[in-house]
Amino acid sequence: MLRISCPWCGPRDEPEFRWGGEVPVIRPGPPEAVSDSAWAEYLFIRDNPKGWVRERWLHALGCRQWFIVVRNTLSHEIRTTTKLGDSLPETAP
Amino acid sequence: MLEHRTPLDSIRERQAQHGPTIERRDFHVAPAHEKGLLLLQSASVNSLQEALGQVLDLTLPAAQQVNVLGNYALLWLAPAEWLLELPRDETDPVESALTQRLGPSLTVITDFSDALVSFEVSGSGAPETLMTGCSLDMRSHAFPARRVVRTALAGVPAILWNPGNPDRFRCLLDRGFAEHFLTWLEGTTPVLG
Amino acid sequence: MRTNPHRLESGGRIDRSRPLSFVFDGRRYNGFAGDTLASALLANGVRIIGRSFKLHRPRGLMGAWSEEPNAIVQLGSGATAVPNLKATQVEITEGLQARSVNCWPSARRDAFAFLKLFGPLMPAGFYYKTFMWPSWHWFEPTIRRAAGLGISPRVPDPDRYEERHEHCDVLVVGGGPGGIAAALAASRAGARVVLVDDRPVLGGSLQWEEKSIDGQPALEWVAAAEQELRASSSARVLKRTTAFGCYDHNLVALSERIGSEPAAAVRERLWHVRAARVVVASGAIERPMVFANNDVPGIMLASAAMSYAAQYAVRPGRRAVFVVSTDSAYEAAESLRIRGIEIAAIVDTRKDPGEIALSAQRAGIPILAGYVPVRARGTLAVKSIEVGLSPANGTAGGSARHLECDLVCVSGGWTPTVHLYSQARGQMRYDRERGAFIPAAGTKGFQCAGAAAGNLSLHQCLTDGFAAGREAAKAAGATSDAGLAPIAKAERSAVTAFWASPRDGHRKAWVDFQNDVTRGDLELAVRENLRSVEHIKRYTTTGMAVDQGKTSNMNALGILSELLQTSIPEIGTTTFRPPYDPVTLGTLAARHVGGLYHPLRHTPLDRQHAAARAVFEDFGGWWRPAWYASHGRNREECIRVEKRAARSAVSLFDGSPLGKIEVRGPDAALFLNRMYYNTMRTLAAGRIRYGIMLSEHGVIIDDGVCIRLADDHFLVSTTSGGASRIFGAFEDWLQCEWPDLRVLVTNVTSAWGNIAVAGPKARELLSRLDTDIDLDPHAFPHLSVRRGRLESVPVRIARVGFTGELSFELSLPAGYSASLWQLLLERGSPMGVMPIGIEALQELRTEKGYLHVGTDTDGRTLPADIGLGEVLARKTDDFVGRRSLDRADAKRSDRLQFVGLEAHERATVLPVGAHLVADPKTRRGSHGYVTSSCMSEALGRSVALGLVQGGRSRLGESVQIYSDGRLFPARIVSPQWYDPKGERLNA
Repeated sequence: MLRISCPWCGPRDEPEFRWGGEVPVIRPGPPEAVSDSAWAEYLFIRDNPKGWVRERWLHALGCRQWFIVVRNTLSHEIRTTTKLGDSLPETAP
Repeated sequence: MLEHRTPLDSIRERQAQHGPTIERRDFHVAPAHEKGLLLLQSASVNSLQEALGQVLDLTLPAAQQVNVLGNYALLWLAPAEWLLELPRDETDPVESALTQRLGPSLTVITDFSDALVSFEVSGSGAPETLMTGCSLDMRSHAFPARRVVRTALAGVPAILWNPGNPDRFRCLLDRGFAEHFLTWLEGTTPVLG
Repeated sequence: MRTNPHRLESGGRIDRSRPLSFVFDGRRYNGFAGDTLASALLANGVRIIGRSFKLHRPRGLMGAWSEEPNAIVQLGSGATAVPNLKATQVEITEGLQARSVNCWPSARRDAFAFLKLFGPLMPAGFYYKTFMWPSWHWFEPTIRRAAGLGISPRVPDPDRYEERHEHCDVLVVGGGPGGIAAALAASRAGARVVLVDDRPVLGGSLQWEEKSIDGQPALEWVAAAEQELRASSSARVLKRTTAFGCYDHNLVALSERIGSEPAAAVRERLWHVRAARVVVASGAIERPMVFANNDVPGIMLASAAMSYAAQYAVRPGRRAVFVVSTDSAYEAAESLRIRGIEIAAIVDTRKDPGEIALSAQRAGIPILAGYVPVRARGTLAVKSIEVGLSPANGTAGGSARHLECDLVCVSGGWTPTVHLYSQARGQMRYDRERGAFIPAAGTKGFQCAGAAAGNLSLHQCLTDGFAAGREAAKAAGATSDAGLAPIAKAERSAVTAFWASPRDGHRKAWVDFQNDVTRGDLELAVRENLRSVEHIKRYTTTGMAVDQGKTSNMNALGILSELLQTSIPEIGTTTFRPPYDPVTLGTLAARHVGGLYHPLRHTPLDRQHAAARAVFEDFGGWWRPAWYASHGRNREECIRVEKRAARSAVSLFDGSPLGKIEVRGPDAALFLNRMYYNTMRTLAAGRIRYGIMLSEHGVIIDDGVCIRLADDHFLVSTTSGGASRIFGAFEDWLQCEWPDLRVLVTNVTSAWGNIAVAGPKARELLSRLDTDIDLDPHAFPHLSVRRGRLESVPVRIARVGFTGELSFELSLPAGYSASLWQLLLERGSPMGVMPIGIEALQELRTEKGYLHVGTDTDGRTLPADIGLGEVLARKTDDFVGRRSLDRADAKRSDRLQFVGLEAHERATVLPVGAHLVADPKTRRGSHGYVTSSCMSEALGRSVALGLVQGGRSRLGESVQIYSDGRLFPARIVSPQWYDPKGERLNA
């Protein structure tokens, strides 16, 4: 069970959080200018790397804030967590 | 005239008739004194701070902190969200007074008095007991006075805070879980010794 | 009372003043407090304690604690029965009832014993091969019965289980010398420490090895250490507690056995320990050797024999042969010898065991150096062992020696217990000399110490454990000086790993005793070209299941290394899985059983419903009335009566669980316009609009009404189960996609009670209450909202409903809703008011042709599929899911569409879930299915809703609906049966 440090509330156990997938994902628009493949890319296609990945997580049972987690999908190590407004951290250390 | 009732009234009546379900010297759980609750959400912290200062002489607490002043307690819940606990009959006047001073800033006040119920959990065994159903360390070295957290307790979302004394907690939770919460806490068998 | 024929006259750490009697396989025996079931059985001369997994061979004790693979027992009976415990770990209590598993009627006289004759039919992977014709499933039940472990109880467990979260700086797993030293160091350094050990007493091997620490007898040192830790307010000592699993970020799960007595308040407790640092001092497990017939009862680990003799004062045999490749076994031999057990010989596989052998020889023990075991003789008990010069020194068996004995003590090496470390993804390196994988430094916050780190002498264990505890405390932020490590006499503890003797013809030689895996099975796997150790593990089952390879893994690797001509580090190890030892399901469930399993929310009208004898059910996490038993004799009648009240008089429905979300701010309209499929920007203040919300995939995820209270203030109502989901979606979009929008959202679901007053007499009922709201239909039309006071309480009334009748939804602070409900019942009594449950409401809305998202839609339903396609054409703004509606697939004409269905037989209620068959002759192919269905008294016929392929262009078409072997002729229709012009709704 992961221990995730919410930037607002500090370290809490994984069941308090909800996973929101890789970031950044840019929502394309306006709809009439978006091709089927660009829309499919936005909806479904992710890097899913073995190693470091940037994700968004929600502290659902705490302050209900979304924030950024840099996590290693192989070791589950978490390097850093940052608030949404801050600049997006790099995956490489 | 309609009568006002909360799930805590039923619990109080039952306890008055039959006494508490459990008798433990080191741990007590009881409905807290009925209070009013106002949820404050603001995209403009300065104006909220100003209004609170003018109306109640209260300052906004830092993250995970509670500011207590007399009959008022102001709990941090989220970066732009606080919960004000106040005497029940002051709920409407304070809400109006705050609204008046907030002016056009984006701040909303919601009466949460009927949304949540509050229990008082106390005794030297209180941290142990809470830690059967809560993944946080509730002992005083990790959970000092005036600390507040939103977390899961007894399998349901809860706000836990310490009003100032060690081994004394307040648990705020959805009114619909009041009976469940009591059943859970009264049924715990904490670690002895 | 029978005496213990194999009990030593004196010694041991049992309490001879407290005799206890217990029953094993139906026979009564005696033991003493402090005995395990295994030691007490051994004291009573019971040698056969179990039968092997596949072949039902008689098996005796091999170990004395958790390493035991054979002696699996079942305790108790009925509801409190516990299967699959090891007799070596069961403390006896007065009246304990135990039986062996996988045999009948007893381990000694097992009716399935004939199975061993069929051994050749059951090689590795036999179930993939032998029992393939006509079908594995044909044989499976019989094979499962014959091969298996304990039997689970079939009734609920009446015992109580507890759980506890714990946080500490340093968790020390293992209360042997290394673990105690680590805990002392960490505690003295100022860290918060938890020390956990699975035995009833601390000390580990010090309980049976006679040693000194810091110049005092080791057990006195243990007692003082325990006292010191218990006296500290920041240390916790947990005995009878197994650290069974390690999970991410240093979460270690413990199971604490508290009481097996019926009076115990709690039987077991599950601990979730989150530790900054973990020190694993879980010791090492001695290895058996692989040779022919090495599973005959009476062959046990040297350390186990010593433990039985010294700790439990039990004579494990009268004449012992030691077969060893370790120095430590000489100590065991000496321990047995001084307790009066004859040592026939020490057979050392090492050619030159050194000084330790010479001193044993001086004590009169014959030494056979350079010899290996060839085969054991005996069926129910070992009678003798044949040894020969090892191939390195000649031909095995070439110079065979036949040694009579009733006990063979083996010691092939020591395997550090690295299960937890491995679960924590700790890296291991192979140590050739010790023939074991040893933790290599480097796992974050997790380290091994003492024997678990490969240190076999007591002195090393103490030094290493103390250093590990000190380091862990420091890493966790503790700053005090831990002082000096305890010391013990330095001693040699050499090992030359020995796995297996050369194959002895066709005779079976066991590798994994618990799973009945032999050397032959490994050979077969390699012959069949399995190469990866992970594949061989699964194919042969070696190292799997309950045992997790405690005694077998290294021997299997050693043999595979020879067979594959590959070095052990190249083969690598398999991954250890939790649990280290079996854990009861009761402990894992802890208190999350019965009503506490899935807490349900209660509405503010709970007591009113109960008083009306509501039948409650879980609807989306709320405990709600399905129907009221006070309304009739049975469910159907009650629902019919409730529906009649709603259609002809007035009904009350508790809508408190309906999701209510306030959306406020200058950009509220803009925001909701993006969240809803429908246009919400143009909604006038005081008005209400029905809307649906989509996922980005275009699929309908929720519906409800959107109320505009003011220009910058909306109230969104969601389905009861959708409240937190939709609120979460609002927060998500506002925080992550449109942080620039000036909007604040608040979930006020619990703050407000909600009562729907519906029926032709709804207005009449409300007019009997004191309110400042004008209820006149012209002043207050359908789909509008008014705020005011009702009986002096602030109220919001919305003209919306789900029944199709004149309907008012009253919202007021939750605390007043029970009182208002009572008042409505009183005032409405003359006009026949009646509370209605979910079942009646569902039927009422079905008659009206209203859909219920999630019931009449599925995970693919798009707006056009439910007839809302034209809304899209009128909306120009973007919204969540819009682009997905423009895909070719979204525009197919044969999509499943929402329609009404009428059975030809007016009295036939079409079964929900029944399919429209594409070809009624073959009854194959589906054109859709029934989603809602009921008998309608108001319409005088049954009606149903469904999703049908291209259904909206097939109105009037006759179809066949198939269910349970029957075909129902039906017609596709528009679902607007009841009040199609909306006269009742708008009344």
